[in-house]
Amino acid sequence: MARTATGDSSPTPDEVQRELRQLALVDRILGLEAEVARLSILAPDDHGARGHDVVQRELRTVYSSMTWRVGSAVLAPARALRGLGRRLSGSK
Amino acid sequence: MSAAAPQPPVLSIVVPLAAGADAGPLLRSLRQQDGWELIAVGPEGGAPDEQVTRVPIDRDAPLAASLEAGRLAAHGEFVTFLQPTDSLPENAMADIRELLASDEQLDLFYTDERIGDGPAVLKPVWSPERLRSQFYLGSMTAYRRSLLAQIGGILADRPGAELYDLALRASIPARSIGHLASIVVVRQREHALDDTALESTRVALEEHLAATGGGRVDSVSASGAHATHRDVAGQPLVSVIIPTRGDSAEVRGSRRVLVVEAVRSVIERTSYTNFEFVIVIDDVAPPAVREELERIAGDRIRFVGWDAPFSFSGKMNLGVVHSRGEFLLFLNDDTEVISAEWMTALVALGQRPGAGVAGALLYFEDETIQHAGHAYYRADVTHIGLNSPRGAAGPGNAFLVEREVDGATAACSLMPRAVFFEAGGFSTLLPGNFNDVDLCMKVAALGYRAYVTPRAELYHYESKTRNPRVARYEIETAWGRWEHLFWDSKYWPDDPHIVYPA
Repeated sequence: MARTATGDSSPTPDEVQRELRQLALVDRILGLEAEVARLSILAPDDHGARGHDVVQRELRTVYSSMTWRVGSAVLAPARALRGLGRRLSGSK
Repeated sequence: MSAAAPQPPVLSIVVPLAAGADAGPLLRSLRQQDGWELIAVGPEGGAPDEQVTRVPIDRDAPLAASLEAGRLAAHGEFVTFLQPTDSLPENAMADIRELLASDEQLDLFYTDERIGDGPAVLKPVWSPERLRSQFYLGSMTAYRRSLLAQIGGILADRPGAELYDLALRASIPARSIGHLASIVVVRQREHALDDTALESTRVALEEHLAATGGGRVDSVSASGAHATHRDVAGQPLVSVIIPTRGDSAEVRGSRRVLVVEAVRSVIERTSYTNFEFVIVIDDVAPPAVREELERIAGDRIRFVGWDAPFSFSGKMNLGVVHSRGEFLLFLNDDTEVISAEWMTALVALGQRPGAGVAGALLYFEDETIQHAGHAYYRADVTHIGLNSPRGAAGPGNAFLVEREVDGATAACSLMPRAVFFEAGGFSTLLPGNFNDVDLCMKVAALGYRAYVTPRAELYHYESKTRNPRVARYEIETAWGRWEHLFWDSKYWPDDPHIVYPA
């Protein structure tokens, strides 16, 4: 969770590093999800079974990465809340 | 065995007719298609036609009365209101049926169109903020018949703006609004708005703004591009994050320290008052730069040192974690404020429910447009309006209205703090290029919207100080994530490389 910015005090070095790491982790997860989406769309158009296998191997590599597994666990609660919020607000 | 009840038509087309007129062109275009019914509203007379339902009305009846009489006589699932000189291409009804089959919650849809022999008028996907400045939905706007009943149909006291008012009111309770990217109607001409229509438009917009979170109508225009804006709620703190090396460059024939003049222009020309600066400054920057910035910005400014190799993403992220604002305003050091209300306009859009990014209209030193939003076109990423002259209206007056976009440059853009952290900030995998594109794509993937406002105008003296070379790994990273979404822009269906005339 991002530090709520209040008051005039500067963040401590530990706070800075923690928030930068959090940003990087979230960025990597969202980037991996985007790559998976891209690969999933490209997979049906790959030339023949060999191309399809290459894409499937890339997807398995992504899913098995520590970054993916840790990040997905970190982001899961926030995403559940966001989805609930959208359903309650009925946003178009 | 009883015969199956006939299916109601998919589309009821209501056409107001003057005395002695007929719907010849429209009817001829419909004959070879199915799923429609034509409801002609006008004075008694005219040749009978088994495919036309005639609704008689007094010859002096106002247009609203004709449209409403037609609505009440309709049996179709959807209702639209056209002119007798309009025509529907042979694919129209088939395309409409396909759209309706794709979304059973669709309550309102609009389509692309053509005017006479002119070029196609292509529309963006559903853009509620754009709608409150112009009736971009156009001729073929169709409403679920039950929705029209729910909102009370056509209002009698909006002469000249009956259909724009209808669209505004219907857009609020509509469950789903769809755009059919197909030319489904050909109009013969456009009409400029007269004084009566303009007054009706003003009233309709004022009511719509009040019903959708507040705002003001600054002016209405015969061109159909109206100036409206959202109000800012409260005075949230805005953190202006500026990464800089303290470089100097020549602008308009004189040498300037870019970041000093950028900050000076913000302080001297900005009407919004609650902001701070977070300057992420290279340790090698001349000390005189910090001294001058402190002198002109006082206690509004805080400095964060940077001693690593260049990384726009790294510097911006570092600036954000040192900031305090509810809103983050990313600003290049080679910019200069033009419009006093720029920050107010960005904050107002940033406060919209679901807002992710709000961007500005940027000009080069030579008064041509540098940026009016991001656009994607056949795997290319570019700026809308690039090199068009300042003051160009753009297709359908797009440059003149606040509107949804696919993304906005971080040379000047505002983002809610919470969205920034939810999106993981600027990716440090993209230190130089495409980091703002990537951030906007992440924000969009999370379900947030991006906007651009012509009320925020700045100069951007781009690339006078940094080598704009693009590294292969940057393309591989950005396209590796988003290539599948770089083929077209939801909010800019035209070729973004077009240079528009003044």
